[in-house]
Amino acid sequence: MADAVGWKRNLRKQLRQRNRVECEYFKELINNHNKIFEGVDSMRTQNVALQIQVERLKQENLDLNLKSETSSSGNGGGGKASNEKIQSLEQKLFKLQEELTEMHRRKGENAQQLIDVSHELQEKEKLLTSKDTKLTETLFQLDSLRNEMKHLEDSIIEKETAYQLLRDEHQALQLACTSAEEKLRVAKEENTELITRWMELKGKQAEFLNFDNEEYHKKQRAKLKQDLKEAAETHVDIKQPKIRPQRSGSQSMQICYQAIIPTHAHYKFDAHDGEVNAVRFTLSGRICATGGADRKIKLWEYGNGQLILKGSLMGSNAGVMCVDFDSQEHHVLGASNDFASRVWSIADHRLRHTLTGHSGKVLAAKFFGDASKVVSGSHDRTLKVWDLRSKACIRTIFAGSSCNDLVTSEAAGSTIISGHFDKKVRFFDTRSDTCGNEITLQGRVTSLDLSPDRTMLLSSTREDSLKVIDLRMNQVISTCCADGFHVGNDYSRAVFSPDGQYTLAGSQDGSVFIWNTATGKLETRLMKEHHSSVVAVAWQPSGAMVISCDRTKKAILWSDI
Amino acid sequence: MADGVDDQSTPVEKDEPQSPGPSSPVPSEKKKIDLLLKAAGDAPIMKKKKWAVDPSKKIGWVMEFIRKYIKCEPNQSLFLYVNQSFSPAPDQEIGNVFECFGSDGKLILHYCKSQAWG
Amino acid sequence: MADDREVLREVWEGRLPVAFSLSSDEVSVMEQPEPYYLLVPRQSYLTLVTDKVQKHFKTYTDPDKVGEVWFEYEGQPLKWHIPIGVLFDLYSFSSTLPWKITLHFQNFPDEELLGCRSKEAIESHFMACVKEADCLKHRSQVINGMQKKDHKQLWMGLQNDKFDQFWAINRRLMEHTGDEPFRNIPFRIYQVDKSYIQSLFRPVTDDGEPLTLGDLLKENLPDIIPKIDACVTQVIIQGVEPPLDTPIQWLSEHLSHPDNFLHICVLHETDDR
Repeated sequence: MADAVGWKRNLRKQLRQRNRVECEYFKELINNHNKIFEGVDSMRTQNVALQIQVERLKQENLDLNLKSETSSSGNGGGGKASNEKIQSLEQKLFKLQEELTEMHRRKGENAQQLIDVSHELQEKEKLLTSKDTKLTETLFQLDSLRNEMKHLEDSIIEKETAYQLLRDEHQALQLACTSAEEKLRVAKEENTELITRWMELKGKQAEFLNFDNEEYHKKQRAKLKQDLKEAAETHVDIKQPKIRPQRSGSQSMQICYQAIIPTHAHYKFDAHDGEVNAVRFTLSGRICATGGADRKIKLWEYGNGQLILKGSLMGSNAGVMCVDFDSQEHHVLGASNDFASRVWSIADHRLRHTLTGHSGKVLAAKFFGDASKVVSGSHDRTLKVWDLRSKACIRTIFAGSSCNDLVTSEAAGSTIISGHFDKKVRFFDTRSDTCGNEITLQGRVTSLDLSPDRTMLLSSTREDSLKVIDLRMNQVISTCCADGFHVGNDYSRAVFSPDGQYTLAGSQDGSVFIWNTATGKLETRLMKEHHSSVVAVAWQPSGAMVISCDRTKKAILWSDI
Repeated sequence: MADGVDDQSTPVEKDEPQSPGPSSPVPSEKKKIDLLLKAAGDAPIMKKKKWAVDPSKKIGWVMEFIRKYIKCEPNQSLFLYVNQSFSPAPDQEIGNVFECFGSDGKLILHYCKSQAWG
Repeated sequence: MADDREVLREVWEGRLPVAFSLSSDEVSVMEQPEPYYLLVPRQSYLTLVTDKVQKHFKTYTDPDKVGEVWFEYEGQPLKWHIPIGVLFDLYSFSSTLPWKITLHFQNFPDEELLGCRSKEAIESHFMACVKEADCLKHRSQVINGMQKKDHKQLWMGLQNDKFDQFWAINRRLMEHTGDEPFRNIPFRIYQVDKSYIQSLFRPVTDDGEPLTLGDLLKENLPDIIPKIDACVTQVIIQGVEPPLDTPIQWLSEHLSHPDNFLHICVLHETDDR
């Protein structure tokens, strides 16, 4: 235990020693020092205070000394005499002092007066200056008002002149107006007169036309009789493609004995801005018409191995879907997406007839009969027959489905054959109201074409094949299809060759296919010229050339040369 | 500190006979200390938080460094905390602080611009 | 236990006689002012107890050049944030008393000293030390358990030199529950011209045997024991040389400064001593 606390005892001893040495020895000393220090400090401040006091006392002392000196200086002489003298002197002094005060008073009054006067003066001056400033201000105002007045006067004059000018103008205009009204009245009168004249002429024309028609019918009947008679008499079996007797009048009809299968793109050109929807040659093969999405029909003439633009037929308000020529090659017919069909004359490119009445796009239209009638097939699921002489729709056939194409066959007894969206080919007889027949195919029918001998019907369908139908048996006798052949549109067209030996159609991939009609064998595939879906094709009536049109402006003439 | 002493024990003892004067561990090639500086309160954080610092550097030096790094004006106050509880003395060596309060091989210091702890 | 409290009081009562004088370069009046003698508490800080001294000397120097005050002993600037007793033991232990300190109002050595603009700076430094110490001793649990007013009372006790006021609170910081000693001893070892050493030191061995001052010194300065035995090195705490077998836990509890650190000065005998 003692050992354990050895260090503690040691420490306590050391601490005590420390405090004794460091603190206790000095404690008193430093306390005293501090006391003395404080004493000195307080002494010092006391000292300063005392010094200040001393200074003050010294000052006071000095003042007192001065005072006493002045007072003691008078106490120089003695005696009564001096006293009296002093008294008199004092009196004098008193008087003088009084005088002095009086003077001072007066001086003060004077000064006061002076001050008052100068004050007044100052005030007056102030008033004056203020008046002056007011005056200048008013003058300035006057000036500015005058200026303003002048300005206003000027503007009034200006306004007056402007007003005069306007009145003159107004009068002149009124005069012009009355004269114009007069002119209008005259023009109206003229107009009514012209209209009556025109109506008269129209009536006359109609009469004439009726007469002409009758004549024509008579002639036709006579001719028919004649023909029948001849036919009864002679037994000639003609193998070559038949030419419709009605069209015997057509100029320089080309007769094709052997169609040639083309091998090359012979001539390429941009037919329209946009899709080229329809193409057709005249029977003579001289002229070709194309219809496009650019709302135009273009007429082309063949020469020197190329097609030369003869003219553009305007008037359609939407894309042209189908074109047809009449047998005399006088007119061209166009079916349009604007629900109308139109007839132009080829000679002067003028729009002759506009046939409106369909409530949907017209997808096909053909001349019919002796080119005085037109039949059109529309998306509104009707076919309409139009008489161009009366410019009226003479019959509406409710086909039951959107019509994509149609053909007419006089040989088959004025039959209209239409191809429809519901995969059916329908036959209508124009002479009876009944719907004759219908054939159902495997796909939507996109086009129809008759063989030159009118015994076969070529129909193209969306199931990517062409069907050849024997019209006598109403049977499909061959099917043309091929790898890569796709019918691109609901209005893609396919045609027979002029000799009926081949069928021709364009495909979605831009190639053009030619098959053998009888066997359905692919004869050739013309590729790599079109870069988009081929819509329409036509075979030149001489059989030597084929034309195809695609969805991007292009038309190509193919031949074997 | 114990490791450091072990490393240098040999040279120190060798010196002793010649010069009996003060001969403490020579701070020559000491390993640098990983310092992790974290912002607290409203102080902006530092992009680089981890710094290797010479153990003989003083806390005051670190404070100056932070001031410069976060652009703290000299008239603004900056506080540094160990263990989120007390401010180390500015003349303290980082080595000492690390020795006493470091953990996981690094020393975490929090700094802030207003007094955060105590 | 009563004599232990006696030790605490003896330690607290430690005063140093200091003769403050104004640096002769900074005297702006004709005659050098007399030195100002003061008994300063060993536990306190220079800037905390020298208001009167500063006020006294300010009248003798050019008021335009008065900057922050700093102290110097024989050319050695004195750090205000180290307790006065430690500064004395470290720099002038065996010199004659009173301790002569020079006062400066100009050319503050920013490189060596910390600025001390107000009493709050001293207070916050003091509290930081107390917190650091408690962090070492109790993982901050005691100091964090205290209220703000307890912190204030600690500080006011030191500032006003009130032993009872201070120890009423400090007792809780120095307590160790039962036989459980401090986790680590908060100590700092000072040597002239070196930074101080601070490290972790547990007051008992793994077997629970109490360790002594000698063990602590051996751990931090391995070659010190033979030097002490040869009387070339002195170990001073609170102005005394504790025996090396003093248990370190007891030393920490009784001879620590108010900042709760055990400040140990290691003095090496130099040729001129």
